[in-house]
Amino acid sequence: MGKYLARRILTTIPVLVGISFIVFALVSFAPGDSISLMLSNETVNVENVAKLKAELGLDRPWYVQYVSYMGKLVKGDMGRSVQFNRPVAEMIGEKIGNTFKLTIFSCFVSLCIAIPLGVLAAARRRSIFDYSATAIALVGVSMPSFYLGLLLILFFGLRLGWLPIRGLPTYDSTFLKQIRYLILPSITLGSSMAGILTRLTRATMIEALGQDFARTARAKGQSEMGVLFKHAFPNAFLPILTTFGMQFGSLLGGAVIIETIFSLPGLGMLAMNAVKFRDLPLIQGTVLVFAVCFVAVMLIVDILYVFIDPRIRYD
Amino acid sequence: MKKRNTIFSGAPRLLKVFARHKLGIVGLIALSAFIVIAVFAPALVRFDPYTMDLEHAFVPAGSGGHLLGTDNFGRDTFSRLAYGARISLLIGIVVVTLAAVVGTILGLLSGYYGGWVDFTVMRLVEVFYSFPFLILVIAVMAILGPSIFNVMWVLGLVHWPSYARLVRGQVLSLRNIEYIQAAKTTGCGDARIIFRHIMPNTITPIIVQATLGIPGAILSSAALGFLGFGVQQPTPEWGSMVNEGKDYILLNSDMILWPGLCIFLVVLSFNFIGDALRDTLDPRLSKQLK
Amino acid sequence: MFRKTFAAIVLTALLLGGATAAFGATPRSGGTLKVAASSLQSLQLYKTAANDITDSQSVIFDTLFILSKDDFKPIPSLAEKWTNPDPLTWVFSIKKGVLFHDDNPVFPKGTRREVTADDVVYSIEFMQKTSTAYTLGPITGVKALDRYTVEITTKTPQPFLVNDPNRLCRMCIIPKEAIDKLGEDGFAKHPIGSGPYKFKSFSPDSGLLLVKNAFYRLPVYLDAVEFVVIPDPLAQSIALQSGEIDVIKHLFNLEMADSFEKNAKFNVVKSGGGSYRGLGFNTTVAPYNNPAVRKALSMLLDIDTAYKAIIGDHGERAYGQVPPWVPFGYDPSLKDLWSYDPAQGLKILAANGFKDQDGDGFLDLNGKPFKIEIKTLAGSQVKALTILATQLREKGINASVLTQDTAVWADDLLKGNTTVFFDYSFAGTTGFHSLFHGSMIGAANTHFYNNPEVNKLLDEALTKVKFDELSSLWKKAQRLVFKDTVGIPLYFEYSYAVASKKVVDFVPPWGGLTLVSSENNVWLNK
Repeated sequence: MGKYLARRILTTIPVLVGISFIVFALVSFAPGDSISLMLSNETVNVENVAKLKAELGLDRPWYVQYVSYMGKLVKGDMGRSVQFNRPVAEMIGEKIGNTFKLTIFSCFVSLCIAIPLGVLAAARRRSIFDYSATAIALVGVSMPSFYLGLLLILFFGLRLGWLPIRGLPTYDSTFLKQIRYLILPSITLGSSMAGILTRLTRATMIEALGQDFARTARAKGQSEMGVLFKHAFPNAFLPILTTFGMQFGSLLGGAVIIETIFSLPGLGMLAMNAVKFRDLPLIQGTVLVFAVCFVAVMLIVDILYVFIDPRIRYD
Repeated sequence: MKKRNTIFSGAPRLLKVFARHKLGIVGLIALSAFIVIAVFAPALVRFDPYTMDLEHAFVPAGSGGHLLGTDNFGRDTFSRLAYGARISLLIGIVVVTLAAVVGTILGLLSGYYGGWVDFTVMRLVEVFYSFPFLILVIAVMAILGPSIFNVMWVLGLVHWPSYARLVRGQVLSLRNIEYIQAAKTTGCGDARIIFRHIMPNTITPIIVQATLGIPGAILSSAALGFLGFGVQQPTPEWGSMVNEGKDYILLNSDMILWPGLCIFLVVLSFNFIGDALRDTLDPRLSKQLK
Repeated sequence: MFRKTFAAIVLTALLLGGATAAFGATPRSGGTLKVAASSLQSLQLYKTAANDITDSQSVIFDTLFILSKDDFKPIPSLAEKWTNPDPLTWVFSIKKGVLFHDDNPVFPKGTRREVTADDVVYSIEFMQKTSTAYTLGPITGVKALDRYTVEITTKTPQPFLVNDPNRLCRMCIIPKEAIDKLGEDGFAKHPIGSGPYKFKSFSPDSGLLLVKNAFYRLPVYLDAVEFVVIPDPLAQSIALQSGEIDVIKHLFNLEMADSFEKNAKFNVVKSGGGSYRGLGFNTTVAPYNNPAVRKALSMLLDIDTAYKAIIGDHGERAYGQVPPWVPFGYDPSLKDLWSYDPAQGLKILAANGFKDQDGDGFLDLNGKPFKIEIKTLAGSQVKALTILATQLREKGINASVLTQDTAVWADDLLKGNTTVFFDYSFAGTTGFHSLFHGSMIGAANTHFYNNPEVNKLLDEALTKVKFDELSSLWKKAQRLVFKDTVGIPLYFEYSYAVASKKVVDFVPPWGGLTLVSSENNVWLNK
C-alpha cells in the first residue's frame, strides 16, 4: 500500500513538470508580455520599468528563465507577481480559501441533490420521482453554467431580491452569512455535476438492486429500505466516488465563469487576470495549484477505493 | 472468419429499438430543426445578422417583422440566432471529429504497442486531464488570438484524452482475443490488424462518446464566447451574444434569454439522442463509459 | 405689543429654519461611505495606474496639491503655496502642524509626528526610485530649505509638473520610519499617511476599510470609508441600487448613466474630465505612409453619426487630441480640417491606386485585395469602431474591427505590427506630447510619427510655463499633426460617477479621489 502510494506520487511529478513547461512555453512565445503592457501606459516611467525588467531577469533567454523558476520552485519559492509586486504564494493563499469554499459547497449541494434523487429514482422506477430525476439531471447537464447563473441572478437576485448576487460578503462575516452568499454560485457551479451524479446514482443503484445479493436479501426478509442502504448503495458507491473525483477537477476549472459572474475573488479570477496581463509567475503558480489539487483529489479517491473495496489489490 | 460486431449489421433492428426511446425521438426532431435552420439560414432570415439599425434597437418580439425583436444595435435577433446555430454546430462537430481522430489513433497505438508508447501517451493524457481546462483554453485563446479556427483546434486538444483512454481500454481487452492472435500468427501486419480487426470494434463506443462529446464542445465554445475569448463580435456566436446582453440585463433581459435558450436546447437534444443511442447500441456499454 | 414681538420671533425662526433647509443643512457627522472598486489587489504605491488603487491612496495620503474640480488647475492641499523663482526651480511651502496618522505599528497611539519638508523630500525620492507607473519628469534635485519649505530643481522647465494629474499630483507624502520599519511590502499591507482617513484593514480584492483621522487639518465628517470590490460593472450597478454601496466613482457603462439619471434616488455626477478616443495610423506602413491616403480615408467617415449613436450626450466630438478641460492647447477651430466628403475621398483613393479590379465590390490596391483591420481593445469604443468599419464597407473598403486581448494589443502597437488602430489617451496634459513626439517612438508614439517641425514646437513648449505661450505652440503643433492626418480624432468620452442621494458633495476622481479638501467635503445625509 505504501509502495503504491509512493509510486503514484512519483508519477505525478513528470505530469506537473510537463504542465509547468507547457505553460511557460505558451506564455513565453506568445505575443504580448507584462513589460510591453506596462510600457503601453502613457504615464509610464520608462527607466524604472527597464530596471524592473532587469531585476526580474526577463531579458534572459526563456530556457534560462524556466530553469531558474523551477529551481526556486523546488525550494518553495513561487516568485513574485510582475503586475502587483507581491509574492505569488501570498496572493494564492488569500484566494484559495474562497475557491475552496465555493467548490466544496458546490459539491455538497450537488451531492445533496444527486444522491437522494438518484436513490429515490432507482427505488421508485417509472414513478414521478424517476422521471423528474432524469429531467432535472438532463437539465443540469445541458444548461450552460453562465446562463444558469445569469438566470438565477435575474430571478432570485433582482426580481425577488431574496439572495445576494455577489459571491462573498466583504469581511468579518459569520459562517451563516457566507453560506447565504454562496447559495446561488454553488447551485450554478454544481448543477452540471448534480446532473451527472444523479444519473449515475440512479443507474448504478438500479443495477445493484437487480443483483443476486439484493434478491437474496429481500428473500431473507430485509425491508426495501434495508436493501437500499445496506446492500445496494455500498456497491453503487464506488463508481459514484470515481466520477465525483473526476468531476471535482472540472469544478475547479469551471469556477472561473462562476467567479466572474458572481464577483467572487477566487483562484479562477486570479488566474484569468494573470493571463490577461501575461504575469508569468502568477499564471504558473495558479495553474500548478489547480493541477496539484486535481491530482491530490484523484489520489484520495484511489486510496479510498482500497479501503472501501478490499478486493482491489495493488502490487 | 471475420466477425464484425458493428452497428452496421443489424441496423434495422437497432432503429426499432431507438424508436422506442421517446426522448431520443424528441431530441432528434429538435436537433433536425436546428440543423435545418442552420443550413438554410441565409434563405430563411429576413434581415442580415450584421446590419445595424440604431433607431430600432430593443424592438420587442414580433414588431417590425423582427420575429424575436432586436438587440442593442438594432440587429435582428432571429437572424443572429440562426447564423449562430451554424457556428455552434460547426464547432461542435469539428471539435469532436478532431478529438476522436487524434484520440483514436493515439489510443490504438498506445493499447496495441504498450511499453513506452503507452507510457508516454498515458502521461500526456494525464497532463491534459490535470490541466484546469478552462485556464488552458483561456491561455491559448488569449495568446493565439480569438478566431473560430483557434477555438476548434484548442477544444479538440482538450477533448482527445477521453477518446484515447476509451480506445486504449477497448484495444487492451481485444488484444488477446483468439482471432487477433490467429491473425498475428498468419503473419498479418500490425497496421492491418489494427485497422481491420481492432478498430471496427471500437467504433460503437467512439460514436456514442462523440455524440455525448458534441454538447460538451458546444458548451465549451459558448463559455469561451461568454468570457470574451473565442469567436468575436460581430460574428453572432451564442455565447458571446449572452456576454453582450449581460451589460443590458437591467434594461432588457431578452438579449441573454434567447441565445442561452438556444444553447440549452441544442445541448439537451444531443443529450437525449446520446442517451437513446447508448441504450440502443449496447446497454452494457454504459458501464464502460463511466 | 407682545404678540407682535412673538410673531416676529416665530417668523424669524421660521425664515432661518427655511433658509437653512434651502441651503441643504449643515453637514452631519457619522456614517460609512461605501465606494465601489473594480479591483484592489495590493496597496503598493506607484506600481500600477489602476484607478482604484490610486483613488484609495489619495484618501489615505496627502499630496502637495490637488486639481480643482472646476477647472483642473492645481490648488493647495498640503502645500500652502508654491513659486517659480526661475523656470527650473519650484519652491513649495507646506502647512504647519500637519500630523501623520497615529495608532499603528509605526506610530503608537498618541504620537504627534508632524509632516516636515524632509518628509516631502523623502517621499519625492521614494517615488523617483520605486515608481514604474508614473514619472515625475526630469528632476535634478530635491532639498529641504527649512522645516516647511522644499525646493525642486528640474533639468528643463516643466510646466506639466503641477498641471498634469499624473505627475507631482500623484506623489504621496509618506513617513520614512514606516518604510524603514515595515519595508515596502509591509508598508503596502499597512499604509500610513497624513490624509483624512486612516488605514484600518485590507482584504485584497475584497475590501478596504479606512477610518476617520480625527487630527486632520480640515473637519472630517464620515466615520469610515469602505472600498468594496465588485469587479463586474453590472454587479456594481445592482449593488448601488440595492443600497449595498453608496457610490460608483467611475461608471463603465454609459447606458447606465441614462437609467440612473431617471432614478430620483441617485445623482449622476459628471466629471470635468474624460478620455480621448480616436483612430491612429502606423505612418511607416504602406499605404498609410501616404498622407493623401490617410486624408482620403478620413473623408469617408461620418464620425458624428457614429459616435452620437453610441455616446450620445456623454461625450463630444474631438477635432484634435487636446480635450477642452486641459488648461492649454484646446483648439475647436481644428474642425475645419475635417470633412465628411465620400465622393472626394474616393476620388483621391482612385488617384492613388485604389480600384475595384476583381469586382467583389471592394477596392483593391494596385491589383491586390485591400483590407483594413482596425485593432482595438475591448470597451465602449468597439461599438463606435464597428459602425465606422461598416461605413467604410458601404463605401467599398473592406474594413473590419479586430478586438484584441490587452497584452497582445499593447505588444502589436509597440512593435508596429499595426496599420489602423484604436488610439487612446486618458486626456491629461502630457498626452499630446506622448502620442506625437518623435522621441516617444517605442513607447506611447505608436504612430511612429517623426516630424521635425512638430518635435521642435513640442520641445519649445516644454520650456514654457505660461499657459498662453503653451497654448499657441500646442495649437500650431496640433494643426500640423492633423493636417498630416496622423490620427483621426473621434470623440472625447466624459466620465461619470453615480452616488445615492444621501451622499453630499461627492466629486468624481481626477488625479485622485478627493473626499476632503478646501473645495468639497463629503458627508452622508441620512
